[in-house]
Amino acid sequence: MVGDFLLVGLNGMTWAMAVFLVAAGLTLIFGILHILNFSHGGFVMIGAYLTYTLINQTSGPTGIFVFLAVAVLCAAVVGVLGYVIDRTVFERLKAVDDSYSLIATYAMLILCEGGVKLVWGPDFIALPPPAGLDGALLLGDLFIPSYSLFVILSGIVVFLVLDFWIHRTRSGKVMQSVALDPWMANVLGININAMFTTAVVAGFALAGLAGGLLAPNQSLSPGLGGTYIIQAFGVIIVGGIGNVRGAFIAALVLGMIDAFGTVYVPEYPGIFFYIAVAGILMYRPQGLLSGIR
Amino acid sequence: MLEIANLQAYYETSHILHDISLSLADGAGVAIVGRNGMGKSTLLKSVMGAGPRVTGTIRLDGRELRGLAPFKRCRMGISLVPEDRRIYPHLTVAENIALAGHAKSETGKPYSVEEILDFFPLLKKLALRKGFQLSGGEQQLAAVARAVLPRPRFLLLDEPTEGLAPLIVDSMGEEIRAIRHREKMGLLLAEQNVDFARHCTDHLVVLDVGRIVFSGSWAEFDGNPEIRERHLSL
Repeated sequence: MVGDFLLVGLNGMTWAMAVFLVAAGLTLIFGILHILNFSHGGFVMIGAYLTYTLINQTSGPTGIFVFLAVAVLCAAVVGVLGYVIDRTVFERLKAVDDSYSLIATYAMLILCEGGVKLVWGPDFIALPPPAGLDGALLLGDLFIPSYSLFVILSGIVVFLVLDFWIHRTRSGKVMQSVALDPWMANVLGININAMFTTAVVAGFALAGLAGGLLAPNQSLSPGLGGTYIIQAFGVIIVGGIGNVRGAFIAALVLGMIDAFGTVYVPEYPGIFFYIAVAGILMYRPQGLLSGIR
Repeated sequence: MLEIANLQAYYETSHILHDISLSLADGAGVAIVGRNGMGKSTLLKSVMGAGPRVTGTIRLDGRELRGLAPFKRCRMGISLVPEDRRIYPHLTVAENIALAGHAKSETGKPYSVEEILDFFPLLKKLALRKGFQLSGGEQQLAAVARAVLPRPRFLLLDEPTEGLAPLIVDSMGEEIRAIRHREKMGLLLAEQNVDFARHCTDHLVVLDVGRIVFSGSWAEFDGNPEIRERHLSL
């Protein structure tokens, strides 16, 4: 009984950290540029496919360190894509109405899906976890997949690094100030466009990293981007859009509610996520936390 | 030398400033006085490039500023303290001041935060207080201190005395004078408080509905009481 309880909690935690990994870059970009990037899931997907391709280039079984190196490389590649998109698309969205950013970023999501179909084909692809993460740990009579622990740990590490950067470093505080009052930051001699570009590159790199780290978690298909984005949106809206701490807390809350809900009402898997999102927003329409934090 | 010539400024389709020309030598102090809504803030924002659409010329030592982003003008030595102060609420006073030193300045080494706090003794005990915990007067002082940090050659102050207690106004006036004289810092001060403006500057221009209607020294201004009567009294 206690074992079952822990297992469900562990599933909720794994889901939470996987979604947080996806949501982190999305909420960062919104917090600073106020652009809701619908294509974020598409770039997570590209990170995952790139990881698949790169891992298949290596011979023999892939170890954890090679896997991590590949994920970081994919983060860098998607970060560079982010730079290009900032220059060609986001740059033009700053001065126009929000509806244009929705249309533009949704169009980019469709482009990502089309691009993935062209390069990797429409079929499902699977990437096994790297050696060392393909087994399970036995804790008492609890059987814990080691890849789940890896995802949980990755989510926590990414959160701690982002949180430290935003709150404890000089550049993080400057970034917060640019987000809060770009006009004043500009007048104070801060090159705000360079800061915006940095935020976009960081957000896209986080998408690529999430894609890489989560690639072994599921079968890859061109619809993956859309699947990711819905859950990530739920998490960042409940967390207080633009707020990294909020996204982390919301991911945990929603992950647990969904995991336990699914156990008690197995007929409707996944529905508790939506019920929880709607329920929390009824009481806190602004989300759990607000502002860039 | 900061030179403004034939400046027109617009917000959307409204023509706010008409044919403004004035120049400010290094270390000189000029007050822009006039009633509310006459274009004082618009003039300062035009010099900074931070708001209105502008035609005409704005030159710093002969270099055209028009078309340059505000952060570039700041790095060239122009600092603006806006009317609404805009102290960052999530940062402490010291962090707010330090933020201005983030920019690489062309005007030499910025002051350290400690030096700035020495100039503004009232701020010293507030250094670790967050922006949202400050009173209006404290925010104003912090905003002026922040603008001075990069060692600007020209300081643009927009109604610094608005809503402040007389005691703080006096002490701020002394501090601004002291820094101006020590650093040979030029000052362009938009102000409705004529006594404060007189205390901080040597010359003044009077703005009325976006045009300069008087330009001269304070003595000349006093010699023409009808200027004050017509353009400044309510």
